[in-house]
Amino acid sequence: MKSFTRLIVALLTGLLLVQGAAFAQAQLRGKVTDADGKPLAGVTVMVKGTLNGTMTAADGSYSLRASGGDVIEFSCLGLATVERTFDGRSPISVTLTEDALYLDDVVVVGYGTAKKETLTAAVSAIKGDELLKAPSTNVSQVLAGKLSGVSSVQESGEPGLDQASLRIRGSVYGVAYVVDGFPVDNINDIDPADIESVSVLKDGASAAVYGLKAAGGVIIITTRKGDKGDAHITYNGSVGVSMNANFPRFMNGPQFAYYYNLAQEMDQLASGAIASEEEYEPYFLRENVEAMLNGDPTDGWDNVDYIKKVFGTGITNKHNITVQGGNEKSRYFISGGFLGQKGNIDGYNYNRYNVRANVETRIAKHLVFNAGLSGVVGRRRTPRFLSGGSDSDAGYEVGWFSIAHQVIGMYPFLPEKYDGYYTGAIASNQVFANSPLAALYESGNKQTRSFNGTLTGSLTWDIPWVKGLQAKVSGSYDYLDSYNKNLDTPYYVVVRRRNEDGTWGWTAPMVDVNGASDGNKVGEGSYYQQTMTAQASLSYANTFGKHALELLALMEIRDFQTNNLSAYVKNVPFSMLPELSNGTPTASPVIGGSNASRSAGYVGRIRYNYDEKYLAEFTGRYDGSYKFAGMTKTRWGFFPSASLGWVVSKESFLQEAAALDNLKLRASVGLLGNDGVSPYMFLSKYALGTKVVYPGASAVPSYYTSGIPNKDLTWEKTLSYNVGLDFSLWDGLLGAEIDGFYNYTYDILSYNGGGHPDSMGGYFPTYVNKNAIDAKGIDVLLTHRNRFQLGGKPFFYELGGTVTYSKTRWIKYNDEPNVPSWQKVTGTTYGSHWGWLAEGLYRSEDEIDNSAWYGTRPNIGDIKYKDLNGDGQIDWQDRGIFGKSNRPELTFGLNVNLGWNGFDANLQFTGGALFQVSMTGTYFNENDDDTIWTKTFKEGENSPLFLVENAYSLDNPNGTFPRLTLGTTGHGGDNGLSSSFWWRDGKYVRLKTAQLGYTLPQAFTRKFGVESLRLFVEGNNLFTLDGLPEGIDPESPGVNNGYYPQQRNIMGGVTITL
Amino acid sequence: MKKILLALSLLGVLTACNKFLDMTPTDSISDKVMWADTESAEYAVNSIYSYAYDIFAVWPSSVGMTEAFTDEFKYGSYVNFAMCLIPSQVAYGGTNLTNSFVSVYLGCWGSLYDAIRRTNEAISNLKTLGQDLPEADQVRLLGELRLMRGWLYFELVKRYKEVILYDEDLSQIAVEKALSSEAEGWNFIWNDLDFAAKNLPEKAAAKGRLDKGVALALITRAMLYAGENDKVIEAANELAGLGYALMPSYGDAFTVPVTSGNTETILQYTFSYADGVTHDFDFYYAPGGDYKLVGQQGGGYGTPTQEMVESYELATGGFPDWSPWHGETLVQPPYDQLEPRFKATILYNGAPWKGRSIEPFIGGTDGWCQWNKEPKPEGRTTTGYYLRKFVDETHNLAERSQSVQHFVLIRYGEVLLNKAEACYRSGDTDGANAAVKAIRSRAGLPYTNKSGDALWQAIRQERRVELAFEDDWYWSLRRWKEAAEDWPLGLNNYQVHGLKIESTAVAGQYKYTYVSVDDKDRNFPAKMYRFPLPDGELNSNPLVNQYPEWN
Repeated sequence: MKSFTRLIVALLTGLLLVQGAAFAQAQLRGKVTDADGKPLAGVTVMVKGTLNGTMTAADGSYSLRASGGDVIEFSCLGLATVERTFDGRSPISVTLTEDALYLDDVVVVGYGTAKKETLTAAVSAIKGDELLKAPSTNVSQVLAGKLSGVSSVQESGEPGLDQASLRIRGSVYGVAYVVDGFPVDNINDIDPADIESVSVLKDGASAAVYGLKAAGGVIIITTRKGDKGDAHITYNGSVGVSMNANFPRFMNGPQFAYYYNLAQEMDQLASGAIASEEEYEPYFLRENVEAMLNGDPTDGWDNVDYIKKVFGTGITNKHNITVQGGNEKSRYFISGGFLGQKGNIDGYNYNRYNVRANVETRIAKHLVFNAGLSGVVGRRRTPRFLSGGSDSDAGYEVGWFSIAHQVIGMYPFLPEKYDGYYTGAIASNQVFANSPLAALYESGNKQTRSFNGTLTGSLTWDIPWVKGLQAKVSGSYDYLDSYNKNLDTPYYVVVRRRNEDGTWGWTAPMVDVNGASDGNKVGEGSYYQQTMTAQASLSYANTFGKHALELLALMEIRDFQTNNLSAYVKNVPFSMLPELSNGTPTASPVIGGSNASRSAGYVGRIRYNYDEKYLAEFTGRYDGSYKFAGMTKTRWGFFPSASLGWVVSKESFLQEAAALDNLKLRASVGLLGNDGVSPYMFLSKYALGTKVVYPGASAVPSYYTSGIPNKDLTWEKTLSYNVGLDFSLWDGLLGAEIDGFYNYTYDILSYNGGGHPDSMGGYFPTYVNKNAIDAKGIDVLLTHRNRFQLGGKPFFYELGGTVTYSKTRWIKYNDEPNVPSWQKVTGTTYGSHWGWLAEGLYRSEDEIDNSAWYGTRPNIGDIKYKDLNGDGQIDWQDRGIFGKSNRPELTFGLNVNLGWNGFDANLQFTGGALFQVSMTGTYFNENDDDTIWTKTFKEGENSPLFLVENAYSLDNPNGTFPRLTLGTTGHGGDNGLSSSFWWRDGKYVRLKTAQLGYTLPQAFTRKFGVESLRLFVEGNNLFTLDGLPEGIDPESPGVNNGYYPQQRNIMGGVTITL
Repeated sequence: MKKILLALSLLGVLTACNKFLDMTPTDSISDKVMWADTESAEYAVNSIYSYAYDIFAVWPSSVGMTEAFTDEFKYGSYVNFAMCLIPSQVAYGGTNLTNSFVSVYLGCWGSLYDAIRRTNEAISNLKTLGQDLPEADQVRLLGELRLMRGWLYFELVKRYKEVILYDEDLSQIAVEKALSSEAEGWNFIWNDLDFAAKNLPEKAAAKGRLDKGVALALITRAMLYAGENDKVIEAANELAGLGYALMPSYGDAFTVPVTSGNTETILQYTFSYADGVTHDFDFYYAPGGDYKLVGQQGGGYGTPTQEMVESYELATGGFPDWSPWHGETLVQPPYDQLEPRFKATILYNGAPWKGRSIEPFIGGTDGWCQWNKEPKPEGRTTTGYYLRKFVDETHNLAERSQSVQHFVLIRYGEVLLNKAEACYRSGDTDGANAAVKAIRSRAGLPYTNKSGDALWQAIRQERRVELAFEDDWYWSLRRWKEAAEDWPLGLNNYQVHGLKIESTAVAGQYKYTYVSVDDKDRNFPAKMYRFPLPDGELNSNPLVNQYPEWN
């Protein structure tokens, strides 16, 4: 019977079409209105696939000639495009409604999707298009400010290492990433052009389905799948330049000479070496400074801006081509991309090649097959030395001989070359010279090539005999291969030194830090990891009258393996042939090892709503990790969540409230886990000890137990509460999503040192589940959209503001019992700074007389520290944990979209407040140090200009920074140590990205067969407003003595769709 | 039915998944691998063996050789560091000797307990995880481990008397634990050493690992402290039956390795440059000239005192008159007439060394430096002497700085002296005389049998000279409760001396000046007969209280 009906319909339709074609062109009229019935002017009305079109008049009316069967397209910026087929009958009047930009209909959540309308959990989502409105080189950079609840800090600007670190809601844990349903380690290699949507699972209710991995929140990325319809080819290309966004100025040659002399004079006066200013014998003489400025480098003096010499302009190239299309049975998306970054330091290059193909096809009536394939090849090439960095993270790039440090450490009064050699300067704590140019051009190189291939597939079976029942199996294979090759070539520099008698001379050529005894050294390493994930699920979705029910049961297993191998040789005779076989083995020529991990989990979910008004969802995950012991309570954990929602606006009593589009209340609670701990702590493991030699035999190995097993060790847990309110007023004039949250993290794995008597001989577990942290806050998304006529053309604008406030505290910490209260971690803000409390600078001898001090008597201009324990002296006991962390408690973003007459613009502002940048930096273990940013002439090297210009000195007695000093006597060094003097309010606003585009009129471009052609210019890190000393970046990394700063990119590009 | 099938299959999947998660680490070694066979179990026991070296060279004091706390040895004066000024501060005693000062520089409570815990852990693992090892290997390894545990506890009780006793039942290790009596401690040590002596193979079969001889020798050492003289004598006699004998030459006892037929060595700790197992004894104690001659700086951190030199008899017996050298003289001291053990122990002005003569005078190759008046004393003696014993004459410093000469941790010479002391205490005069005579005969010294206090003085004299710089004298003075007496018996109210040596206009003639190398008198309070409990124990273990003499 059914098929019979279908046949009739088909016949009738065919008849109508034939009939339509028989009509000649006719005049078509109509009116376009908005949702409130008000007329819409300036709406483009086109006959699809032709150049025939018009615009609506002020009263919303239009008229154009069309033929029967033509598809008429009504489009207007900011509103959803509508298509109607002209059947020959006029008028065709349409109502255009808001384009859903933020309030998407469907959002991706863990193991599935959910209607935004009936969502009960805290999920932020954006469309992939948003990611393309910035000159980003990777995904993590562009999420800043766009999604509420996410904070982003980008420390480095080095090509290939310029990813931002993301945190959700002030969590102490990293974010878990999921791409197309499968967990991955990082998302930075995904081409932003491939991304369909990004979802952030912020609360327990949304993230609990990821169980053990979910404590830091989850970011889900879904790649494009292709749309039904004709094939579209889109090319997106841009090219531009990059330069340092922010870098402090340092002293030039004459400034160095002037401040160095002044500092030395003050030090000598302070130590009593000289009694008056007249007695000072200058270190740099007037004739030296004149020689710096005479433009003749052969006299051994010059005035070179090495920072400018090294940090130049880089070039970034981005190209991407996508092809997508589909029909009733299949759809596909294919993409190829290239990113080329030529860094703004010579020799630092990164190239990335991306391919991706997603195919979906209905292979049988009830069977859908999905396949995805992606590959990324990355190639990074640098000189032998690291570019710079910090050790806020142990794995980050560090080094006293990093290029960034060598630049800063270089003396600006030295010519580039002398006697054919690059010149160098030796920091007083080193034996080898800094020489940035030699390090860049003569040191050899490091190359890294990586390949990451991912294959995913799934088979979905709509079980025919139960409506709404679906079975699905899917799997993913992820292979990462990384290969690196380093070549170290010894090089020589000459160093300028001042002799005892005040004359200056050059050393004989000196070898660089790695020495020459091993000749050219070559190291090669290879690493691979593979991850296999398999999922099987049963889902059921059906409605029974006003009751809607969705069920999901899923099982997931994951297997992870790695293997690495490195080899090293020395004395390679030809640096042009850096091959292992050409050298001789080093002392430890081969290193290798492997690792493996596994996890398994079961997920269940029940979703119910009544009339889309009363909403409820329950999820649970039963998760197991190889890291914990046996079939016990410690290995398997249950992570449940529950959430409820109430769409108040659907209640009859609010039907009269015309201004209210939507109002929803939400509440949720869930339990999350973190198994980011060392594995096998339940086993007694052994470490290699000193070898033992028995008389007359060769050495035999010895092994000792390296830790006390803790069979009770288990994952850390976070109990997460969330309440939310979503509303939309006046047809989207104001939309809001407001969430309040409280996350209590407990059983935190903690070092278990103190409190045990020596007689236990260390027989207690090194780590136990003990400490607790909580985070509370709100996150808010506000949207405002409107349009009006400007110059007779519709002007559309949209503002999206995100605000996230999150405060994270230690609730319980394993403090040593005998430390003073200000050194107890319990109760402090997570990531607070360690140091003394500064009470300004000493301004008089009286003030010094009446204060406690550290070590020897300070001088005027030294920092005055607070004697917290009142014992009359400043020491380590007076240091404590104070202030705020260097991660903002308050982050905000403002996203502005504008559109008018083919022009579009996007501005993304980001900012942070309620945090303190420690100018000394902060180590990953939360300790601080002194650095070039806080200590003038640290190790005799150059200093930032703000530090010397504003220092207290004979010439500047009102200086706001500590006393100018060479750091050799008295308190020169102490001033630079961590204290509240150096903890500066970091609040800032930054125009993170901006893009201006122009889409040529379709009527014009279609003449050339081009569906759409858009030209754009874009930039990032365009300006920053902050209260920090010049050149100090609010996102600056932990303890550093120079780093590769964030880049400002200015790019221009084109997007063509065929 | 379907439901049951579903439930069953789900259960199956769950169990399978749990198996799926049972993994063995590939990046580290776990218990199961370690105790699977004898060879790997020996690897685990090897780490215990290194404690023998720590007991000899590391734990006696963190600031230098314990002889520096007596009148035998003196460190330099460069800075307030270990191997420099701190050992002198220990010898000065008095108010220096606070609880934490003694705990940090002399105490090794925590290190010993860490070693004891690891040894107990190994015993526990051997008993639970090593059950598949051949029976004989289990017994042998248990013997090695219990020997080491007994030795570790001996070192603990020697210092602290009342200690906390833990055996291999690891579940007993707790925060709150009371001290045991000294008698319980000695009993624990006896049981371990006795087990080892009864179950370990003899030297030839042990292939250098801990053996029966080591256990018996340790019994003679430990039971002397415990006052168990019969056990000392019995063990010494059994040891004599195992083929140990004094080397004909005293010097060879330290330089000839057991593999070249050293019959006197009972336990040798061996090093190998090729395997990266080295020590740096020469760096601290070789004559400064050895380093100067290869363009480096090192050696001479500590040197023997004039008091030690004057302890040596003439080769013909009896002591020379040293009074001419207690002032200023141009006469060469009677070094050439002293008994051979002097030359094997101490380097003096003109002593032959590495094909040259030692020059410990001002401006000489080996140099001299006035104590605590001149900076940078390293590489120069402050006493006019250098240490000879344990310094490697074959060491080519130009080639490498690390030393590889073996250490003799226990030797038969000590066993004879232990036996002599035990015999004397238990009234066996003949036994005591025989042992002393054996020691003196090897040195070529005459001996007539003695009794009473004369016998005791003979035993004491031989112990001082025979075991010089072998980490014995300081502990023996404490054992005899003589340390708190006035010098020369004890360590109170005296200063140690050296000879300032200057070359003169006449070739081969030197001026010798007797100088004090202390800047105040030394002091050993009676409370130092036992070291104080460290704060780390007192703060966390509510069941222990500080020893009364330290309160």
